[in-house]
Amino acid sequence: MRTATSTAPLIVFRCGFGLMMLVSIVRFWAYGWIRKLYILPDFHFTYRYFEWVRPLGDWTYLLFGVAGVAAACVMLGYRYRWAMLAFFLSFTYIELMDKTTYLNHYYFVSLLSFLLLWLPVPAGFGGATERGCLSYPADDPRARQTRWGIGALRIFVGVVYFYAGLAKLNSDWMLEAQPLATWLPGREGLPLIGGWLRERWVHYLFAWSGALYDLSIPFLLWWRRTRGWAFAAVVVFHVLTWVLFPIGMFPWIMIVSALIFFDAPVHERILAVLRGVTDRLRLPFPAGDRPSRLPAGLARAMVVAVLAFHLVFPFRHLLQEDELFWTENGFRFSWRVMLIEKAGLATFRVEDRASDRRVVVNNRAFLSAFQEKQMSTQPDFLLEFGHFLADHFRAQGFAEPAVYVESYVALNGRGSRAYVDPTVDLTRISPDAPPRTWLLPFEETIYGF
Amino acid sequence: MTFRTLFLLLLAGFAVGCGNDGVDDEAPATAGFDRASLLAHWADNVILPAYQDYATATLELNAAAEAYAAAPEAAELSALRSAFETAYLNWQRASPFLTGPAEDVRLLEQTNVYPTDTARLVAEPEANLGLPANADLQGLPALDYLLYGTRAPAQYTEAIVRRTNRLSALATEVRDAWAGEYRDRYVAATGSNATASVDRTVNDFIFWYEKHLRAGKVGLPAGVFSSAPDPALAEAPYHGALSRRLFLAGLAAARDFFTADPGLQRYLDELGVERDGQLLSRRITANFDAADGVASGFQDDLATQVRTDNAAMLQLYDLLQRNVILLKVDMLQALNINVDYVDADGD
Repeated sequence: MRTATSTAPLIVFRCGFGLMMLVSIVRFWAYGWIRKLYILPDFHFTYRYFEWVRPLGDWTYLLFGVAGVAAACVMLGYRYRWAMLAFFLSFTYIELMDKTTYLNHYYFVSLLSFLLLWLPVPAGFGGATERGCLSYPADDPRARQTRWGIGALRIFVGVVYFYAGLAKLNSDWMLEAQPLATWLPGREGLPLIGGWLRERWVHYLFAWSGALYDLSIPFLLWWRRTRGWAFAAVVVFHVLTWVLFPIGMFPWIMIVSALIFFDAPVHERILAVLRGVTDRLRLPFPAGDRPSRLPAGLARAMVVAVLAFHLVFPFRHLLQEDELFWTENGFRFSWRVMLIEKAGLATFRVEDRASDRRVVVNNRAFLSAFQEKQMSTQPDFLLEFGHFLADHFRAQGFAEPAVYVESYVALNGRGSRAYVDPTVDLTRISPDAPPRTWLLPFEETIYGF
Repeated sequence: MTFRTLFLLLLAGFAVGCGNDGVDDEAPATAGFDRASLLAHWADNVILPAYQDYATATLELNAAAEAYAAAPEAAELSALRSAFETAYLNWQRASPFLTGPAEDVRLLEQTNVYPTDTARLVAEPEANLGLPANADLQGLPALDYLLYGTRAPAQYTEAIVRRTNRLSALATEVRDAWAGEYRDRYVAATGSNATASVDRTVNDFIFWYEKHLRAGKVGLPAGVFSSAPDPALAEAPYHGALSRRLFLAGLAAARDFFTADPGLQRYLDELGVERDGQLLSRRITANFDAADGVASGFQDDLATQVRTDNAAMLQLYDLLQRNVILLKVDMLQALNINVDYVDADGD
């Protein structure tokens, strides 16, 4: 029977999260992606209701600088809440600047940093008491808050896995092993496993074990008797995905996040190692200061609100009739990863209804290769670019521009199909119109979640 | 307990899978697609021969131009014109392969930008041909005008020689690069990212197919991109009987590159890529053949074809467009060829 509640799990989570974010920012900067993705392109695809979020020219570097410094502060626990707030705002702003770069794990980071904002995480690496780490007597209200915070993080991480698993229970993934069957043969240059990646049964093995992994891992991590094996599986699984797919920092972030399922003694040991390092280097890091106080009711209400949103928002696609994979209406922000391999081609034609002027657009005159690629398969991108072209050519003297697009999309191993209705004038389509009303029908059914 | 057992089984499955790989890696049944031999085949048997033929043709063109400048007589003009046709036809075989040396010297831009600006061509004999702004004063289209569009080509021998000189110098430079150190660098870049040779070659090939074969030779004169057809936009308009052969040569180059073995067709077939119940490669070659069949019945001059039966030109355009979609969407996807590199979680 433990008589005290240790804050060590929260401290380790905070350090790990801060470190991963710092590495992400530095990596992004070092690869030159700030310039390539946010400064060089003239046009940026915006999120609905966040059209006002734009790159800041050269000041975009400062924005990344703020996020990086904030991440470092989070890692050390220096002015934790202010640092977390600064990180949440700067990182989320960065992600909203251009949806071309949307990744599931960026959304994970944004939402998680908002959740972390409300949790009572102490500063430093612990060490305030002789037991090693700041802990509270079991009946202290702060002990309850701490247990609450740990539980909230476990639920948060567990739901990401479980929902990703649910999303895999669809006919393309389970019955056709798509899109893995498209991707894996492209990795056959890999040492050791490369030669197997063209085998059909390997595609099914990966598909089924991936779904089983995602659905079961939260429970296996939660249950103490399986926890060690489950964590080993987490490491194997994510390292394997890192080897096979260009998914950047995501595997490492998830491995670090999964540590939250371990009990306090494991975290105490991690912190003892960390403190050993900082002591030897004589770094004047803050010891285990108490977290700044927030009104308990407010903090708890916010945590409940975030978790409720986290649980419900991914199911919003049930409110509309679009085929999810074809229209992607409700696909983002719902923990759907690795489910779609789409390639496309879109040729825009602008006609002036008031004259006989007519022009076929070279997309690359306005978009980067990456933007064009993302646009060619996603309706909201196509529509936004269509509206942009109307404005552009109005400024070029087209009195009444009409914009049409001839587009083709190939989804998960199917042959390419015509995508947007080529007779539809995009200038007459509102961003709120469901894509099914202006796309051509998919004419197949993908069963499942 | 059941969870645990299940889990151990799963983990064991992974471990066994990984273990076996190390042992059976050399099994021929699963030998991966060999990018190095593919690239060597492309470099040695497709691209280098195309540039050798083209460079030889430009050297002969240049020699014929100099002979004509020395003796501007009918026989020399006829020889020069014949050398021009050969060079223009050989260019169609080389132009799909703009990766590397050709891109470095801006070969396409200085060889075949049309329509040529005839007014400036005549008015500015000293124009610097190295400037990007002067792309439409030089190359094969300018020679087309000088040799067939002027009343007396003999008055322009200096301008002709300046251009054949430049054409042959550029062609030789690109050929020498492919025959020399670039070849090994090209074959060594066996990766599968946007800067690797397979990805670059295929992307450049599709770009050429889309912009220069489909749009340049057919779509633009047929009026696909504008409000009305414009026969003046056809290739080699002053020669008046060459553009259909130029198109067919380009189309044959496209088909031959696709079917080169080892090559894209073999790669697709080995992966068993079927789309809508048919081998993707077969659908692509069928479209090449259909386009060839349609265009073979055309007038010698595509400008004339636009004037007399543009509906057939538009039909040809549609056939070519079908392969843009199959090559650019279906094939690139099936072969995992990148357009650009950044993180993606595949959603």
